[in-house]
Amino acid sequence: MKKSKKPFRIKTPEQEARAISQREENERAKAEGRPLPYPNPWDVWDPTKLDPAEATPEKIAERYREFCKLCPPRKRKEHFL
Amino acid sequence: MPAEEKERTLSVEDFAGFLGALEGSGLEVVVIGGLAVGTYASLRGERVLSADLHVYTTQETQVQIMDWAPSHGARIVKRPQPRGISVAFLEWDGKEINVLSHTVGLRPPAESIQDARVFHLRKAEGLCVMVADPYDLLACKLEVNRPKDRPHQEVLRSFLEEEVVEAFRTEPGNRDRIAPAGRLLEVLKLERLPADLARRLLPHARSASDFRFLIGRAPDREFEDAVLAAVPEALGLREDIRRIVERRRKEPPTGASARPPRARPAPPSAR
Repeated sequence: MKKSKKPFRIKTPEQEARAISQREENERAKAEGRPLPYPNPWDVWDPTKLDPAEATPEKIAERYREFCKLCPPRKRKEHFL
Repeated sequence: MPAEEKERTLSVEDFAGFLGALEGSGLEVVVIGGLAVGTYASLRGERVLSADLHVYTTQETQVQIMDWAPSHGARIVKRPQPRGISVAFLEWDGKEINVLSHTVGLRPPAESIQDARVFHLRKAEGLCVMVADPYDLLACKLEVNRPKDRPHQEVLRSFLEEEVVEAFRTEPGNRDRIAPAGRLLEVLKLERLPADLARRLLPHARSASDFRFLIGRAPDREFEDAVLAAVPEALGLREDIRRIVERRRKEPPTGASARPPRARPAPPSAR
């Protein structure tokens, strides 16, 4: 297993302030219906993602089925007895 | 009665009715323990019988099984206790069934279910039963390591060694050929292949990655020389392999050593 060469560090106050301001800008853009200025790359790579605020158990199950089409789980090994 | 003293006469087919009823109700469990070992053993014509059935599932499904059991002919002998034991004891058709949601040495139930293998039981009208992955079972048996687990360790190890050789011999993809051997080493916490296994793999090596894998995990000098002699000239690998051998011979021998656990991808979930 490859280990990350980057040691763990807590965010500096500047990094934290930048993250908060980016998040606020994203929230403003979302409220105004504009594209997010700092989108999460996973939203592009995984279009099945759900907004936690809207996630019901049925939606999560449906989302899992859609995700499995994009990234199918490994086929199970089968044996016959 | 301690499990060791109980008469071991049962195979997974003896629980087909119970497992079929669970499957029919959409309750997902994997067979673990002695019966799981016996299921793999029977693929090699060996018999490992057990006195009871152990199934492994999520805590949520375990609770659902408690509700389901009385209406499906299973008597609840003992319920799992919150903050206590995580096993439910059932009796079905006079046989003991343990439903576990936690056990030493096995990965969490959701992961075990994801990696379980499917057995089609011909004697039970093709019923599909999920049995815990044999690598996981061996890791569990090695960690628990009670006297009664030791014969099971041997059975699983032999089964997996056959599977490792078969994968090396038949799988078309480099990764698929090597992965079972890598997984076995990980479970056994070894950095080098057992000598017998290494010698069985070498005749089936055909790609550069096969030879690199074998030389990187060579058990001894003799095997290193055998790999060097076996590398086809056409692969243009001989110089590489020679350099690896020279480097290895300068290093102190490592043999068996603890390795960090394998990282597994987290299941997808909502953001």
